[in-house]
Amino acid sequence: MLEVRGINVFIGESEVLSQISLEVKTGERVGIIGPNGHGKSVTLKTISGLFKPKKGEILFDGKDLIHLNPREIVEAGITLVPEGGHLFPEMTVFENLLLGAYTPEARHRKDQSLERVYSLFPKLKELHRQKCNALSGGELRMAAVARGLMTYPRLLMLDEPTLGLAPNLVEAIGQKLYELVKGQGKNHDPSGARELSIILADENIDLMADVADRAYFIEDGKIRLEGGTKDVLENEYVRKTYLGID
Amino acid sequence: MNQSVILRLNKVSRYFGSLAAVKEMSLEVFGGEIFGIAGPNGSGKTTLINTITHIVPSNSGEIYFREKAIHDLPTYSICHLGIARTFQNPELFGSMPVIDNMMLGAIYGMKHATGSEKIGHVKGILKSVGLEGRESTKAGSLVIGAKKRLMIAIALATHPQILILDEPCAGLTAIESKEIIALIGQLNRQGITIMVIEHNMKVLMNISNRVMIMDHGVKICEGTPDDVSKDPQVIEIYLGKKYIRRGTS
Repeated sequence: MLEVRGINVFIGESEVLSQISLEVKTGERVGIIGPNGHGKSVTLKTISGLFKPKKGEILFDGKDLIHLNPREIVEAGITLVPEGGHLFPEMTVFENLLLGAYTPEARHRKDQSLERVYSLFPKLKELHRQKCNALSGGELRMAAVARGLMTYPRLLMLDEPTLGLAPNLVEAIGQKLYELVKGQGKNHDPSGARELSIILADENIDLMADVADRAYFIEDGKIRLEGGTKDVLENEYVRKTYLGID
Repeated sequence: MNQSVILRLNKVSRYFGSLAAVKEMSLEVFGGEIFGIAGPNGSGKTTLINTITHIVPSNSGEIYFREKAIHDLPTYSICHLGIARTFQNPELFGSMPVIDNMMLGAIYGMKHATGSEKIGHVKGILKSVGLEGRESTKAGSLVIGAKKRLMIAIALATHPQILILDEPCAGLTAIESKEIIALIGQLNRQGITIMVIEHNMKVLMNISNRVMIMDHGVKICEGTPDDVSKDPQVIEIYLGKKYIRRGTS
């Protein structure tokens, strides 16, 4: 579904991504781990069109995204839920969710999408008239993921969705992400939702182990390791340099 | 840890409109201990330390530092007495170098020290927090782990007796969190009393002498890390069942 081939990204004079290649198959949950400041968020932002690579290709269903702007990339089916959520604090939960459904296809399906996100996050239905500046940290993260789903995505990319959350909320978000993808293709979703893939970048290793089928370890802007999440997290180099386990 | 109370709160409340963010909170922190605070998002943890440092004043109740009432003192006076804090999100002067950010802390907190004493103090802290060699780096260009360490360094530059840390490990990788844990332990061994809010329970349970859990502005549990982590109410509202299955180590 998504093929990133050998992209190099510069910010100013600094090369922040070097020869990054990764792929996501339909219905997969893929994790990205690595030290802070080494390229995880830039990778997601580059796929979203917020940074443009100097070299390489980003193919989505075989179509090159490099020359598309972020809006066109969302329309193609790729949505980023950025770190911190970036909701509009003075607007209600409902208004923020509706803003997610801004592409023509998402607008057309907004009622089904609303039904889907309220079913996934019942708390948001209770809070739909509440302004986002009155939400707790966990509620904000849920609203941000829900707004991402309102874009009717095929690939949902989540940057640090559990940052600052209590342990039970991390568990709850992990469960929701798992449910979003589990069983797709076998049981057709009556809401008409498309089969979803997820890229998750998060520092919470327990969450990563629960949610991601495969993982990439990014260090110094390069993919150092890729494989099954369990294998990557148990790799001796990752354990020593990233997890701090001798 | 000695058994003398260094910080005491007596029925402290803080309301936002009709919402009690902190409600009749009483607690004691002992000199030299590491006192952990945890609780669900929105339970009032940050508001509690905002009232202690008078960033938001309490509506009622008393706060004593070494038996001196501080609840009516402005933030800078509380800092001068020896209480320093950090924030959840790094609050730094991004366009200024690391060393200048720290000097602001020293100038603010060590008002009776000479210039050379302040510089010597700051240079010593730079080494202990692992920022040696990065004096000239602009604070805004640091990665999150270094920003968190700089914020601790600025607080240390004020020469505190109590250091209050608000989620020092949020957003950090496991290895960066370990470095922060080691730093907190080192500061505590130097005699600084630590209050720390943290959601990373592996961190909190491994470093704290005592832990308090808050919910809806009130204390629901206080005790040793072992006791608190086995409390059924704490498991239900905060830790979740997976945490118990996975353990704290």
